[in-house]
This record gives sequence, structure tokens and C-alpha cells, in this order.
Amino acid sequence: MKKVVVIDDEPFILMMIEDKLKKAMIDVVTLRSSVGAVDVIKREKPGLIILDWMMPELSGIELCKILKHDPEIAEIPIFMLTAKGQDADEQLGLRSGVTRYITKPFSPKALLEMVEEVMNVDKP
Amino acid sequence: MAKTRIIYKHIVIFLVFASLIVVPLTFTVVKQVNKMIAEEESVHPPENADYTQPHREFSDKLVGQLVPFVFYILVLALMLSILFSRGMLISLKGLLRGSKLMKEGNLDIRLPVVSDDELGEVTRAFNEMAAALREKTLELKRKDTYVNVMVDPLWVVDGENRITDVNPAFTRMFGYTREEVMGASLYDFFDEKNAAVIRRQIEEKRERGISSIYEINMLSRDGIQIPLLISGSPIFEGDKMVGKIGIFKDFREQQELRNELQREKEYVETIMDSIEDQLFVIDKEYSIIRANKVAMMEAGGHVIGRFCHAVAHHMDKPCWTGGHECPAQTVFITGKNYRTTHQHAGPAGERRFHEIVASPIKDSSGNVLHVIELIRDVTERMKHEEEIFNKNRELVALNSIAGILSKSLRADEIFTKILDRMIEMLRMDGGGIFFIDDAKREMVCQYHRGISEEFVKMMGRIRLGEDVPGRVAVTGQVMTTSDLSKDQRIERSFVKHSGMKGYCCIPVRGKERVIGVFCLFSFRTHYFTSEEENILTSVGEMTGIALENIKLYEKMRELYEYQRSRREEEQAQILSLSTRLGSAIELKDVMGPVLELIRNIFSADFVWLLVRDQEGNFILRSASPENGKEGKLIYANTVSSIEGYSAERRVPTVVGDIRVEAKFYLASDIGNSQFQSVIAVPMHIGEKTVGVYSLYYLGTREFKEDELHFLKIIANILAVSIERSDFYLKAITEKGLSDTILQSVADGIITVDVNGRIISVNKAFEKMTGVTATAAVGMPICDVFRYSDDNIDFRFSLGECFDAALNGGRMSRETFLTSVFQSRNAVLISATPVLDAGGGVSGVVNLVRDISREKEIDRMKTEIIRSVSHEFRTPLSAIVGMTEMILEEDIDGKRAKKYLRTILSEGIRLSNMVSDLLSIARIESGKEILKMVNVDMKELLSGLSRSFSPLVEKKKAEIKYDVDAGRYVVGDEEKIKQVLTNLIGNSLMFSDEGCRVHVSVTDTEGGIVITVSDNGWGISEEDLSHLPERFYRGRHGQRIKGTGLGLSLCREIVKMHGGSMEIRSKPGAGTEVVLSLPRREMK
Amino acid sequence: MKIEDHIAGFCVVLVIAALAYFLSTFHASFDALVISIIVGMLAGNMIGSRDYFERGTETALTIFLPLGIALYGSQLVLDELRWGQLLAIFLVSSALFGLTLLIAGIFGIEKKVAVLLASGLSVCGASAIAVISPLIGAKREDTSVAVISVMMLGLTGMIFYPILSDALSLTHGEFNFLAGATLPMLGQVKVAALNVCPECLAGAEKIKLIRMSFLFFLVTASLFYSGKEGRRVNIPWFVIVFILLAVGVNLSGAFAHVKEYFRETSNFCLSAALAAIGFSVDFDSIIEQGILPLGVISFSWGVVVLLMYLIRNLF
Repeated sequence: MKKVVVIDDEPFILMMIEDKLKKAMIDVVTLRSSVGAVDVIKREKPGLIILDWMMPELSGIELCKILKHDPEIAEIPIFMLTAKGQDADEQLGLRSGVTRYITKPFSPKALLEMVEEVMNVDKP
Repeated sequence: MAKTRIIYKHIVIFLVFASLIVVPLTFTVVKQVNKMIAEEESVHPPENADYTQPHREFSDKLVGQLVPFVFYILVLALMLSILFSRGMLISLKGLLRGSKLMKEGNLDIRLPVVSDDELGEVTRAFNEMAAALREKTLELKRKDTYVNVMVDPLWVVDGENRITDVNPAFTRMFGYTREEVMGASLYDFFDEKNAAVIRRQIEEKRERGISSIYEINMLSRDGIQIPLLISGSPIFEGDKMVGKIGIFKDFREQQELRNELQREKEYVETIMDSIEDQLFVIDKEYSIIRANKVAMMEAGGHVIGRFCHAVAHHMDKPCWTGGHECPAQTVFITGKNYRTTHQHAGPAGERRFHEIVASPIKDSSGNVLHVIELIRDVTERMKHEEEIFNKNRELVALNSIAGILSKSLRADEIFTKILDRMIEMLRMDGGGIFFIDDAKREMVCQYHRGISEEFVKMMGRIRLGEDVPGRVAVTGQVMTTSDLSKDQRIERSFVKHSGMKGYCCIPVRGKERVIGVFCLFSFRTHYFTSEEENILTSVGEMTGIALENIKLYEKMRELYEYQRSRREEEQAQILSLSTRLGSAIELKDVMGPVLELIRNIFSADFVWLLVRDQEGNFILRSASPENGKEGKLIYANTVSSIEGYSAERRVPTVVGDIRVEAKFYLASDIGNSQFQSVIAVPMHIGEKTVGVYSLYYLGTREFKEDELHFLKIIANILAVSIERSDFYLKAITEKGLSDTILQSVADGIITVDVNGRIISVNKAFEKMTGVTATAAVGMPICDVFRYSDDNIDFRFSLGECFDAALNGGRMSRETFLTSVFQSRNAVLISATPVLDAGGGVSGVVNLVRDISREKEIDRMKTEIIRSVSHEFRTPLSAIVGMTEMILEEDIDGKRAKKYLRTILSEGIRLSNMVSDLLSIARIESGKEILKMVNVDMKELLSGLSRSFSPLVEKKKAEIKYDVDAGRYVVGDEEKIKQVLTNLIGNSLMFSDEGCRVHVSVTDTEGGIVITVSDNGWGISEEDLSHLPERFYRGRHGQRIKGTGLGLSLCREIVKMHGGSMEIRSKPGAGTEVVLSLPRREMK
Repeated sequence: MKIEDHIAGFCVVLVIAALAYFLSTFHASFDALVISIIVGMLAGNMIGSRDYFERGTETALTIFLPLGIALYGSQLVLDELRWGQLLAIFLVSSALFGLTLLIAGIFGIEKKVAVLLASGLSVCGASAIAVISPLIGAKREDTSVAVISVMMLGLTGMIFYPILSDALSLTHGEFNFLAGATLPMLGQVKVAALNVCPECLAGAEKIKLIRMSFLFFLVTASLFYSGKEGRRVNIPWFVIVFILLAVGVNLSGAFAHVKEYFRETSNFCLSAALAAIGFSVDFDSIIEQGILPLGVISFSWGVVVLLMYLIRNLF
């Protein structure tokens, strides 16, 4: 069983994703802030990271760049789950190394499908 | 069973018949046969036994034959009877089945009517009964269904308060199943307190057959208290009450709302009470529905429910009836904030000035429901202002009178003008000037205003010592009265009952005696202040002097016809002098030339003017030729001097040779100059000696009467001028200082002298910092805040502002202030220099304004708008995602509830955001009407440049305004200003330090073109295409906070003006915004 | 299968049979077979909860009925019989059977009831009905109706045949034929014959027994008629035994000394069987069906008797 780290400043988003993924027997670690997330990710070694873009202190896109520049964890796929729905944002997100760019509002079911898809591909 | 019983009966009957028929029949037959055989045998005795044998067997045979037959026939009869009673049996069976069905609850019964007998009737009746029952049951069922589908729980209790029925909603809400609660006492569902409530309700109301609705908390199965609204009603059967029905309304939500409301209310009340000004909430009937503590205290406690005018004015009518504007009314009509200063009557009837800020409370559709009035007592300020205004008015009047006197020598003109001025100045209704006819000891009214010729004629001549003017003429004392008709001093007077109330009489003093009386009256009660009386006295004296002057002049004309040319010259010089003095407020500049002029006229060698201070010291004011510094002490009050002597005697004093006059001390400044003749002329205003001016001659000089008189006039003019100037200066200082203080009374104020020591602090300062005034005064300003290390920034900012103010500038800084109690607030420091008359800085007023709330509001507003799109999508995530999860049944019941609650709250949040956005949109939607005026672009831009100067300074930017004078644009000034502010602001914002912004207004064929260009960061092509979108925030938007609405707003405004806006930009090269407005003429 | 379930009904049947046997000793007219069915009927309808006895009575029926019928084969004596008489009996039986079916069809009586009525009337009353009804899968009500109707007709006939015999001044042979060929039940034949003359008893009984052997055909016919062609026709074993016994008795004298025991045994068995039938008869059924079945068989019987009279007078 692999882990997913979810970072969002909105508690109910965390709650939804956690509920949905746990039901599918996927372990979930939730974080309310991107500050200190790198350490958590290094410790947990998740199979996937789900990020919000707009967060106080450190935005998701900045965090994403940090993660992608760290060889230890650069390989972990990242989902950007954000309210920024413009194409430009998506382009920027994808350029920053985001695997999937998902705009809010989102379907938990579709998210789960995507998560499972990515997790299964990654399995040796 | 019926069947069996019937068959039993048949069988029993059969058996009875069988035994009744067969047995007797058998016996009878056997007996008869035996008898018959016996008879026969007796007649024919049997020949042998064989013959008898058949006989003997016969009866047995017969019986054997008979009995089975009878039996079989009976069996047949039994069966036939069963067959024939078949119909009845079927009917009975049907009825049985029917009743059984009915018991089972199936009422759809229609029994066939088989027999025509009574049972048929019974069957028919049964059918009818069943049908009726069915109808009834259906009706009941419908009711039942209604009860069952009812959303609100319900219970039915019997006379002993035991539950006899509940509906499914009851189970849903409380968790008890129907079976569990049946027969339970209703008190089992409440805790003690609520049980008491419901018991009381039941005993008081329900038992007597009264319905009632009340709130109660009920225990659910889980032991949770659920707030409810129970509506209970009794159930009657006939006249007897058989039970009660209770319908519950879920009150949880209402309870929550109510709690929220309560919290909200408390919050509002706390805010209200913490405001230092009075605060009222007024409804449409003008009655007060809410007031804060301050207001309560002011009004003496009970104000709620009273009319606002009753509280504020102590009147029983709204105040607009008295010609005032009522702020509340204005707000109700316009729906906009309104600010005014209002005169109210205090509790004791004294005048009070209140500054009122009235704001509307609107409902969602924009109707004004209530008005909030914030009332600040500005009586002190107003009184001050009024005082200053009055003084100013007096000075102006005096000045103009002096001007008149000095400009004209024609008596008619002078008197009428003085009369007019005085009436105007004191706001009187009329007046007159009486002259004394010495020969007849009478007075004649020669000039008058506000009274008719007839009245004057009627008044005729007033004898000296009679009536008010007469008495004044005799006593030579000013006499004023606020209400003539009630004045006890005046017994007999022609004017006493003429309707005049405010009245004053001023003696007009000539050289030695009173030559006339000056009267002013008002039809209203007028209280004459001491200042007014002083003015009146001086006016009287001036008038007298003028009159004397005129008389002398006329005499002189006769006597010195030959000297006419010279006199005229003199007069002209006096005029010029007087004009100079009259028009100049700053005497300092003109005093020198004036003395020079006097020196020339009287060909003196040295002239100086000494003013007397409050202690009686003589101080140099000016000298010709220049001698010493102004303000130098010449003679102390203990020193005997010619100037002091003349001031004492109040007449010009001439000394032939000052060198030999031992009793006068001569100041060292002039002691060596060997002056011989000296004339010192005192300057008076009323009783007050203003100063003395003296003319010194190296030789001897004698003064003629007319010269002396001339000098006196000059003295008077100088006196008035000096006094006026001093007065003015004082007033300016006072006004400036008090204004600065008063305007910001709610803010912390620290006045500091030029050395940095605190002169005074106000109460708000004490409150803000926790440092008392006594502790603060006298301390160096920056040391006051040393109590906390957190104030380093504050002290730095304060020092900066103070320095700026000392240099004559104004400066504001935002920083944080930590009070003695360790509370930290955002504050705005602004330092303003207090300038003295000479333009030098005499002190600094530091204003410390608590802006934490504004800051907070600002931050929130920015935050909301900045993240509107984010915020829209986020609640949508909750609604969409959670709904999906619930539909997918990913989550179980309890969690689903939590989800639903989140969905609800997010939905509400969304709707709130929509309405916020709508209100922003409404501002933009152009419902506002443009106030078209001719806008002078030059003026507008210079105004803008002023407002941008701090930012420009900060950014070290440079804004170049390229506009010709007289370039006009027709449009709404405010709106155009807004657009330009936005654009220039954008330019400054999105650029590096030292940027250059160029604003130009040009007139082209197509209309007026306004261009704002800069050399800032520019806008990327990507962002450029998105600029018209609302809430769009470009690449730089992440670095700099904004709404994403500014450009949209500009575009809207330009569109409203019928123009267009174009943005050209290149990243790194700057941006150019071109506004084209159509040219139009102002109608 | 628990014995307790059956024992009550079984005992009741035996008691009734014993009672009937006891009554029959008083007078010949109280024939055990007739009495046992009447008492059975009365008892069955008097008892409130018949269900308690039902299984026992059914068991008794399945045991005693075939046994009684089979053993009665031993009473059939064919040596004095002429073939013409045999044919006549067959004709009368067939006529009764066919006519009853026809008329029942006309009156719209249910097919199964009609078959039961016809077989009861034409062969051997209640016993025939009891044999046929499980074969054609008749309901209990149908059986009851048929039994009651046939029995009522039989009782009437039993009472009036002696009178008829006198009124028409029939010879003993003729009466024997009439009674044996048309009265449905063996007991009734016996009673009627005994009332005319004791000698007639044997003759009428012989004819009746011959008629009983037609059960074999009847079974076949009934099965066909009731529309169970698809089913393989199982001729009941007791019919075979009946015929075998009859053949055996007639061909050899080996059975002569046991013949009387057979008679008594079969009599008892039949009376027990009839008691069981009577016990299971429900008066409710005639309440449902009414008088129509009785009318139908009466009519067909009347027609046949009239035809027989006409034929006798013509020849």
C-alpha cells in the first residue's frame, strides 16, 4: 500500500480526499500548510503528492519547484489541485513539473481514478 | 363454526327424531303385532308350534324391516335438510369470512347476497356497513398518511399524559421507535427543568383545553437536548377532553441563529458602548431604538423608545420644523451618509453644538430601515470658533470704521456709514445718532436707520437727562440692556414700549465733553458682551474724534484758508498712512514707513513707537530711523519717562528741553543724541493704553493746537491698528492651535515645543498609551515611549515626523504602538508644525491615530477581492465533491451529515460572495449619474500631483504633467480623477524606483486624448489579453496586492463618458494607456 | 412419518367400523357398509377439528380400501354367469357412466366431479370414488360432493327398490339385475335385496361384484377422460388382485374353505374404508355445490332405469 501526501489549506478538501482515498485503501497524510512539507515528504516517501496552488506562506507552485529540484524526491508524481482554472495557470503548473493539473471544483471519484492510475503505473 | 353448529343441530335433531320415532314405533308395532297374534291365536289356536313360529318371528321381522328404513329415511332427511339450508349456510359463511377479513383489516368486501331471506338482508346490511367502514378507514388512512409523512414530529397523549401514538418523524428526530414510546409518560422525555415547564404548560393550559406554543428542550434517545417548539392542543371528544396532541418543530437551527444573533448583538453593543461619542439608532418614527452607554449617560438614562428630538433638543417636534435640517430625515430620504453640525439644547436649556454623522442601515433591497446617528459634542469647539469669529468680525468692523474715518471728512457720510457698519456688525435692527444742542439742552436725532421719519418726529427732541440717550449724554457712560422693556433702570422712556429690546447707547465724546449719543436697537433680545461694549466705546470715541476733527477741519478751513494746500497735503498723507494701516494686518512691515511718514510730516528728527505690555513696561515696536530691535525693553514700568507720564495722563505731553527735565528718565538708546524738544502722544483704545509714540527734535519745537489734534488722530489710528494687529495675531495663533487640537480630539495628541519637550497631551493619548498627562508633560517626546522595547520603531517614526514638522513640513508614518498594558495597535503618526505669525515653527502637534480597525478592514477587503476566484471555486469543490461522495455512498450517515453541513456552510459562503461581488458590480454598473462640469485639467492634475507626492517621493519617481492651461474636459470631475489616480497609481506601482511617468492631455480632432505612460515593468502579452477581465491579476499581481478591478473600473467610467481606453504595453519597456474622450460643450 | 399422527384417525376408523359391525348384527338391514359410512359422515362432521384425525383416516383408507376390494374378488363366482348377463351389466354400467358424464357436462359440472359422480354411480359408489379421486387428482370437496350425492341416491334407491319391485312385479332375477346393476353401493344392494327376499341377496351381490370388476375399465376410462393421457396408466394393484382372486376362486376350489374368512375380512376392511371415506366427507361441499350433482345422477339413473324397464317390456 502506498501513501499519498495531500497539502491544502482548506480543511474540508483534505477531509474529502482523505475519506475518498482511505476508502480505496490508500494511506493518506494531510498537511494544512506547505511550510515544512518537504521534510514530511522525505520522511513519508509517498507515492503521490496532491498540492493546492494558492496557499499562504509558500504557494503550491513554489513548493512544486522545490520538490522537483531535490533529487531524492523529484521522482514522486505531483497532482496540482487548484482553484486557478486558467489555461496559463495550467501551463505554468505543468511546466513546473506537475503530473496532473486538476481544477476545483473536482470530482473525488475522478481524482481517485487518477490517483489509482498513477499509483499502479509506478508500481514495479 | 356457524356451519358446524348448524350441522350439530341438524344431527342432534336427527338423533332425537330417530329415537323418538324409531323406538316408540318399534315398541308400538311389536306390541300391536304381538297383541294381534295373541288375539288371532286365541281365536285360532295354533295347530302346532310350526304355525306359531312365523307369527313369533313376524314382529321381529317387522321391526327389523321398519327400523333400518326409518333410520335411512331420517338420514336422507338430514342430508336434504342440510341441502335446503344451504343458502343460509352460504350467507353465514360469507358473513363469517367477511368479518374475518374485516378483522384482518381488508375492507374491500362485497359479499354476494345468496338468499332472499333475512340473512340476505343481513348480508346486504353487512355490505353497506363494510362500505361505510371502508370510506371511514380511507379517510383515517389519509389522515394517517399525512401524519406519517409529516416532517415535524408529533405525539398523541392520553388523559394521563401517556403517549398513545407518535409519527415516523418522531422516530427520525429523537431516535425512539414507536413501540418504545407507546404508553410511556411524556415527562420521561425531559430533564427536570423542562419537565417542569411542560408540566406547567399542561396544567395551566392544556388541562383547561387551551392550545399553546412554547419552547422546550427534549431529550433524544442519545441523551442530547434538542431545542424544540412544541405546539400542543387538546383533543376533544364531544365536550370531554380525551388527550393532547403535540407537534414539534425542530428549533435547533433557530436556536443557533438566535445564539448567533445574540452574539452579534453583544458584539455590536460592545462596539457601540466603546465609542466615546453618543450613538443612537433611530427608526422611521424617529424614536430611538438603541443607544450606547455614552448616549444614555448624556441623556440621563432612559432614552430607548423616546423620540430623538425629545432627547436631543428637548422638543416635542422633530427639529426640521424649526428650519433645521434633521440628519435622520435627510438620511431616510437620500439613503446616504450625512454629516452636519447641529445646534441642540442641553438639559438645562443651554446651547450645545453637536457634530452628527448619520448613516443608514439598509435592508437587502436598499431601503433604509434605521439610521445610526453618531453625535459628538463640539460645543467647546463651536464656542471657540464663534468667539474667534466674533472677534474677527469686530476687528473688521473697527478697521472699516477707521478706514471710513480716515478716508472721509464729510460728516454725513461718516455718520451714516458708521451707523450702517455698527448695525451690521452687531446684527441690530436699527439705530440713530443724537446730537446735543447745547443752547436748548436738548438732543436731536440727526441720523437714523431702521426707524421711520414719523417715529423720529414723534420722538422729537429729547431733553438732556431724560430717557436713555439723555441720561447717557449726561453721564457719559455706555449703557446697554438686553431687553429694554424689562429693564428696571429705565423708568420713563419713549422707546421703552416701542418693541425695541436689545438697546445700547454710546456717548460720542468730543474734545472735552459729550457731543452726542449713538443708539442701536434690536427687536430681539440681545446680550451685549464686554467686547462689544468695548468696541462700542471705541467707536463712540472715534466718532467723537472724527466729529471734532470735522469741526476743527471746518474751522481750520475758515481760519487757515491760505494754508489750504498744505493742509490738503497733510490730509492726503494721513489718508495714505491710514490706508496703509487699515489694510495691513501685519503692522511690522508698515510700521516703519508709517513712522517715517509721521517724522516727515512733523519734520521730527526721531520718532519711535513704544507699546505697553500688560505689566506696564514700554517696549520698542518700531522707530524711525531704525533704532534697536523690535521687542526691546525701553522703559521698565518702574522707570519714570515722558512716555509713561503721557500715557498716565492720557494726553499728549510736550517737553521743551528733555535734557533739563529731571523727572524724566531718557533711555540710553537716545540719551546721547542731544534731543531737545519731545512730544509723547499716548495711544488709547477706550480705557486701555496701547502705547505711546514720541517725536524728538534736536532743536526746540512748539506745537500748535491743530498739530496736537492731528497727532491725536494719528495716535488713535495707530492704536486701533496696533491693537487690531495684535488681536489678529493672537486670534490666528489661538485659532490655529485650537483647530489643530479640536479637529482630532478623538486621536492622541501630543503638542511639543521646539526643543522636543511635551507641552500637553490629550485624553485620547492617555488612553492609547496608558501614560498619564502629568507624567508625560515636560518629558522629551521620544523618551515617553521608552517603557517598552517594542516601541523602537514607533519612536523612530515619531522622531522622523517630528523632525519633518520642525522643518515646517508635514509627515505621516504608519507604525505600531505598544501601550503600557502591552496592547499593540497599528497607528498613524502625523506631525504638523505650529507656525507663529512670522512663519517660524513654534511647536509641533503630533497626532497619533489608532488605525488598527481601518487596517483590518482594508486588509480584509483586499483579501476578499484578491482571492475571489479562488474563493468561488473552493466552496464549489465542497459542494460538488461532497455531494458526489454522498451520492456515491462513500461515507456513512454521521459523516454524511458533517459533509452536508459543510456543503451547506460552503453554499452559504458562496452566496455571500456572490452578493458581495454584486455590490461591487453595482458600483461599477453605472447607475450613478455623472455630474458633468467643465473640468480644468491643469487644476485637476496639479491636485493629483499633490496627492501622489508621498508615493513619488518614496519611489523616487518623477511624474511629468503635460497640459496646457485652460484645457477643459467636460465630465464628472470625481470620476475622471478616479481614473487618472488609478492609472498613475498603476504606473507607479508596477515599476522600479526612479521611474518616470508622463501624463499628457492633448486636443485632437477626435476629442480630448489623455495619455498616461510609464517606463515600468510593462505587461506581458499574455496578461494584456486578460486585462479587461474582472478580478484578473497579472503576473505582477502576485507581487503587489490589488483587486483586479481597477482597470475594469476605469474602462467603465471612460465608457460612461462615451470614450474609449486603450492599453499598449511591452514587458520591460513600459505601458501606455490612452483615454479618448469625445469633445463636448457644457450646456 | 410418526405413528402418533396417524393413530387417532386410525382408531376412530376402527371404532366406527366396529360399531357398524356391531349394529349390523341387530338386523340384516343394518348393513355394516352402509352404517359405517353414515356414522363416519356424522362423526366426521360432528368433530370440530377434523385435521387432527385426517392423516389417520387417510392412512386407514389407503390400507383398507384396496385390501377390501381385492379380497372381495374371492366372492365373485362366474360359473353360473352367462355372457349375455355380463354384457347387459356392462351396458347398463356404461350407459350410467356415459349418461352421467353427458348430463353433468350439459349442466356445467366440473369435469372431475362429473367423473367421480359417474364412476360412483356406475361402479361401486363411495369405494370407486375413493379409488378414482387420487388417480385423477380430485379435490377433497369434489370427492365429498360425489360421495354424498351418490350415497343419497343409493339410500333412496335402497328404500324404494323393494316397493318398485312389488309395483312392477319383477321377478327375482330381474330385481337382482336391477339392484345389482344400478344401485351404487354394495351395502345398499345387499339391504335392498334382503328386503325383497333373502335368496335375492346372493344373486344381486354377484351382479354387483361383477360390476365392481369393471373398476379396471373405469380406472382407465376415468384417467383418459379426466385428461391425464400424458401419464402412464398404472392400473392399481388391487384391481389385478381382485381379478386374480376371482379367477382363482372360480377356476379352483382351493379357496373354498378360506372364502368365508375372505368375505368377513373384506367386509370389515371395506366398512373401515367407507368409515374413513365418510369421515373425510365434508357437508360443506354439498353446501357449496348444492343439489345439482344429486339431480344429475338422479336424472341419469332415472333415464337408465326407465330404459331398462322399456327394454324389459319390449322383449
